[in-house]
Amino acid sequence: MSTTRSNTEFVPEAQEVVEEFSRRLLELEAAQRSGGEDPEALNAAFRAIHSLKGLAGLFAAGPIATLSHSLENALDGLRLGRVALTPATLDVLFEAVETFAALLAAFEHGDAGPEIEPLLARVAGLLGAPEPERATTELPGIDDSILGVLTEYEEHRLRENVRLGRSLFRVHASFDLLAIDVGIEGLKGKLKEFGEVITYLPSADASAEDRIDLDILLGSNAELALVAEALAAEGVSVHPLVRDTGTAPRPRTAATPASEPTRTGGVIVEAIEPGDELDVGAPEVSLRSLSRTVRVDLARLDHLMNLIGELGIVHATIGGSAEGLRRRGAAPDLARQLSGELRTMSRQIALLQQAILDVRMVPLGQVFDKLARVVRKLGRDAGKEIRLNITGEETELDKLIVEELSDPLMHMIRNCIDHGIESRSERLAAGKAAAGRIDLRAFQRGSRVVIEVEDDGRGMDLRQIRDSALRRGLLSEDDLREMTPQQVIELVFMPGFTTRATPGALSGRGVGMDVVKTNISRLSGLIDVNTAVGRGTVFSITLPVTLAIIQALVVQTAGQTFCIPLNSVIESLMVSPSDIRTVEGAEVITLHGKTLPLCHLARLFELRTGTRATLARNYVIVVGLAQHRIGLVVDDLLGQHDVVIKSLGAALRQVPGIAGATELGGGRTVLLIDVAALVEEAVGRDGTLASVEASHGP
Amino acid sequence: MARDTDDLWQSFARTGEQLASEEDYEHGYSREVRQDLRRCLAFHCGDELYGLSITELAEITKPLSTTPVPRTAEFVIGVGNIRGSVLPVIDLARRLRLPPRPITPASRVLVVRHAGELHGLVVDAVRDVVSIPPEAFEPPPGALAGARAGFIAALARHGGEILILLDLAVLLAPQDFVRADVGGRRA
Repeated sequence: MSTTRSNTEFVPEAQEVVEEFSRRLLELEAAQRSGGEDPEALNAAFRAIHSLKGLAGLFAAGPIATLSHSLENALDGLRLGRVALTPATLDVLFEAVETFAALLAAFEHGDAGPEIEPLLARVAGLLGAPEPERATTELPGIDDSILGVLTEYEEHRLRENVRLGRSLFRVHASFDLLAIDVGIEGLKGKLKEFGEVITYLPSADASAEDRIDLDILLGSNAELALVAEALAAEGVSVHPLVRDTGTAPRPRTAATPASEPTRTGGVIVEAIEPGDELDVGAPEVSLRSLSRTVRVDLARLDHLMNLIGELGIVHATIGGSAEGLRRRGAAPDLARQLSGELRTMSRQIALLQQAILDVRMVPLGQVFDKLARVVRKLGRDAGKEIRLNITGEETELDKLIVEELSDPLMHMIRNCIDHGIESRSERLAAGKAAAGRIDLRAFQRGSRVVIEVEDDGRGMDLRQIRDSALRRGLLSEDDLREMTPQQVIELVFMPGFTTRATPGALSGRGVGMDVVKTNISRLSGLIDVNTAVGRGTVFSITLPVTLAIIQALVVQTAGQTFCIPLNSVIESLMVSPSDIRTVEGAEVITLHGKTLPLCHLARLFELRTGTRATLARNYVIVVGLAQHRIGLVVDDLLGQHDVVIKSLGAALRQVPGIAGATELGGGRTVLLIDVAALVEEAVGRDGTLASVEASHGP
Repeated sequence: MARDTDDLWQSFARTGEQLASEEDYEHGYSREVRQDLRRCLAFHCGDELYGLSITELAEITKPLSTTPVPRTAEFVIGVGNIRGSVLPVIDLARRLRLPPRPITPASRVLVVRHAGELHGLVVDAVRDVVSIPPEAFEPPPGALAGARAGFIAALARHGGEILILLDLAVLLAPQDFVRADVGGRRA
């Protein structure tokens, strides 16, 4: 029962709708905080809840349907100005977002889910509250023939526009019947720059059979002349709705009430399309879904990816046969043609692979929206006012990575709010703005994506970090004395580290940054910290764009071939034995003025190394995990390959240092090295890397 | 003639099949066809005859090329690749702590499905598929000493031989695959 096919469709679709709703609420809150209003966001929120209600009804998700029904009423009240948009109202709406999430999770697992009665009561309370002072503004001089055809919502918007002191314009436009969709959309975009489109009224005096004339009511702060000039190119005429003479304006072309579209229950269908308003010449209503998207399980994409991997192997095998043919010298023309075709095939396979990877990509905005809610809630709980600036939410990453990112980012945001941002009084005393600022940025850098979380808080106090590490017995005083400031800062990533004497409600349990580091490492990501006392802290996470298929460096050591994920390779270089020095028994080289500890892959894996002594040079592959760097020593570099990672299965998954397997041409199975595990190991064995660097670093 | 019939009887008895008797011809086929026979693959490893339920078996192949995996127990030969699926391949004799066996033309890899994943077991030779009635099974003898006792799920008597049925859950226990002395990890 719990996972019927329909359920698996319902939950993700409903989640998307709830996310959309939440996004709109954030827009509304931003508008409300700046003292303005955003009728468009409100309408979108209303529509989202309306579709959620429909969905929930369809899938018999009782509590979700009940809650969305009651929210729909409340939002309609907001739209019509019957309910005031206050922070308290928004609280109730945001609580609904959380409740929906819980209900959906419960629905998916077939659980009972949270009690919704208290929330329902609060939502109902919104409607029961005394109506705010509605815009009872007189609408002088507006013809009844116009007022008569306006819906309650449109009339409310009209009054609001008058109340806000905007001028009302009537924009007369004429469209070709066949191109009306495009025309209207274009005009709507233009008009929005000047104000709010209140309604579209069909005009009676259509000039020709194949044209439709519309009167658009526009509320705007701009001058008539300005609007008229800007719209001149659109072939429309702009008139004031109310004449200055004070005599009743007579809109030349008011629609007859007979043409009023039939609406049910105040529900507005998607954007107000002319098709809804006009029954003359309107295209036939189609039942085809407007959405052009399909939902696909990630497992299916993985399957496709595997198939392409297979195809690649078949390709390589054919290539081998073609090569054999060529060497035998039989039918040289055919052999040449074959290898040409094979090259084309290989290009097509690469394109196919890329196309499937693209399907896996989702914008980071999905996570950022959730974080915006977290900031709002945590900021309120901590009694701190916080402005969250999000940029780069359109940056795309593999869906799996985006999912895995939510927890680490949430921890980091918690830390910013709890440890970074000071209290209001501290901030004012330090000459900062009362509201704390958190910047969440994402951008692409080469084949990687960088996510930065920056706060303008108090920054990290090195002395405090040292004291805490000492108090918790994580390091000795001698260890600490030898550390560089950067190394001290990196202590925050150690398990069990916290500067709090007692765990706080938000963070301070000493699990946060440790978890962040582990999760980021698991995604083959790097994390860096930059901090300035009194000015704030920047955490930056660098991630590969995808994990499904990776670029790997193919290396050879002791006669065995391995792949190293290129996204954890920082650089590779050739070294001769004379470059290698020993520090307390550990081999190191100096690279860019820093000491880099070396690990021989053959020794780590205890491979038989008969030929090693004869090698005049070795290759060092500098790999990084979170803030650590080590050099892996191998015998030879064989090149780069795009590889599809295959699991080794439960039995071999736990072998430390091996992340998986992949196929190279000729059906050869090659092991993929788990850089994270090897670095961890190196850190454990050589004492801490930090101390090596500290005593011999620059 | 009589000898031939005997052989037929014997061979049917061994596979668990039954022949119609004179009585059946007289009274019609009233005897119930047994539905509870367990079909097992019998194979050789060392000097003994082992068995695995055919429901656990995905396929049987000739020895395939494998890539050694560092830091694994001795019995792990490496990873192999069957039509795009990577699977661990183990040496059954070593796993059962028997003396190592050479790979011969008769050697086969039994590809078994356990816990949703494929594993390869290298054995000396495959004999045949046998059907065994439930009453022919015995629990592993508790008194049977030796390192191998844990791997035995049951014993089955079959045509005068004893078939040792293996317990895949023990045989393929993931914790045994990693070599015990792999150190270096942070405690």
